[in-house]
Amino acid sequence: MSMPAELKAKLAAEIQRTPSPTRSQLSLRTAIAVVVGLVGTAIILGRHGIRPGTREPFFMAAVTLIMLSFAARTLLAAMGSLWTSPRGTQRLVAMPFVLLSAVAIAYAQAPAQAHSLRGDLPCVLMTLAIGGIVGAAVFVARRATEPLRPTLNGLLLASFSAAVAGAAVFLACPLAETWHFAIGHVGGAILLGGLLGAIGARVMRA
Amino acid sequence: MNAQPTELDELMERYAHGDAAAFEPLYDGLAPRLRGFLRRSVNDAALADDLVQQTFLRMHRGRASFERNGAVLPWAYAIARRLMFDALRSRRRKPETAIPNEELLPSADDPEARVAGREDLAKLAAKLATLPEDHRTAFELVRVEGLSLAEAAAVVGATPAAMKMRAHRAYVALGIAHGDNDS
Repeated sequence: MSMPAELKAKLAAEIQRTPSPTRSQLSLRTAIAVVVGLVGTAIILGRHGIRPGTREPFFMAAVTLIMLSFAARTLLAAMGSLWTSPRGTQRLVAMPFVLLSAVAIAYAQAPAQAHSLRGDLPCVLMTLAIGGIVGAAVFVARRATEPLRPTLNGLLLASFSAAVAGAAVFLACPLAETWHFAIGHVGGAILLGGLLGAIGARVMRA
Repeated sequence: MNAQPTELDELMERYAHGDAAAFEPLYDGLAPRLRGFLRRSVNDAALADDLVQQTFLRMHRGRASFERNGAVLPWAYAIARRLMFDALRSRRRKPETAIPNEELLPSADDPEARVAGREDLAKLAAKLATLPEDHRTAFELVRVEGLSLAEAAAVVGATPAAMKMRAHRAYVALGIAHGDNDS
């Protein structure tokens, strides 16, 4: 069942008109986007400073490293394998739940601190600001390159942005209080992930 | 990761790296298979041709996201299948039963065998129509399209074991003998 020649010619002309990055170009664009996102994060974090409060440096370093490891995994999953193994996906999905639960439990052991919704707002806004910069950079770099699973790819990139933002806000916020963490940090990250995830499928579709 | 890359896989790999010359042989190798698959599934030649074009355009735009050393056949089929479902959804239709079409019948030199073959195909179509969608898809991809179980599983996002079970159930329901095509 051979294809008509005119269809082939039409497609060839369409392809000439349609830009598409090669694999190395897309990797370079993604790397630049990640650097732009991290520089933006560093600038915002630099303005606030890293504030441990009553938290142990080891605890802060461990949580930040795990968050950044999750961010790296989601980015690599978005960039790489189409057919992620079910076990790998389960681990990736479980990772933030385990980590965030561990932090919430650790904060619950800390001395009681007053909680106010007004106090949560700066952390939500900072999460949205950092995540917005990181998300915009990676979405622009990788836009219209996913022909098969744009929704999943968009969600992975949204998770990457939320994890980077979450790590930065975790370092900048000294308040070791469970409700503040749940609303200001986790809530902010979920809001950011939801916003980016909602536009992700449309942006990523090839 | 692809165990043993085929010529088409290598062409796609070259195309993902930016070798524009790889596109034509890739198209020549893939388009007839995709066209056959889509024609059987949508039962509309013009729509099938349009979907083939769209599939290649998506493959072109998304070539950078093609898995390094991956298998192009399941990737292309999966894109085509997704486009087919989108197109049918917009027309509020369901996929047709995917039976081997008339090119698989005995040659026109033997009219009696051809008539008998056509009757067999009609019976097969009737039986296929009664199968659940996932069993029918498994039959179509493995038996009609000739994909391996691993490739067919990749097309629909299932495990090879699940695909094997679905294909087996389809064979049993259709009363067709089958071998272990799990390469």
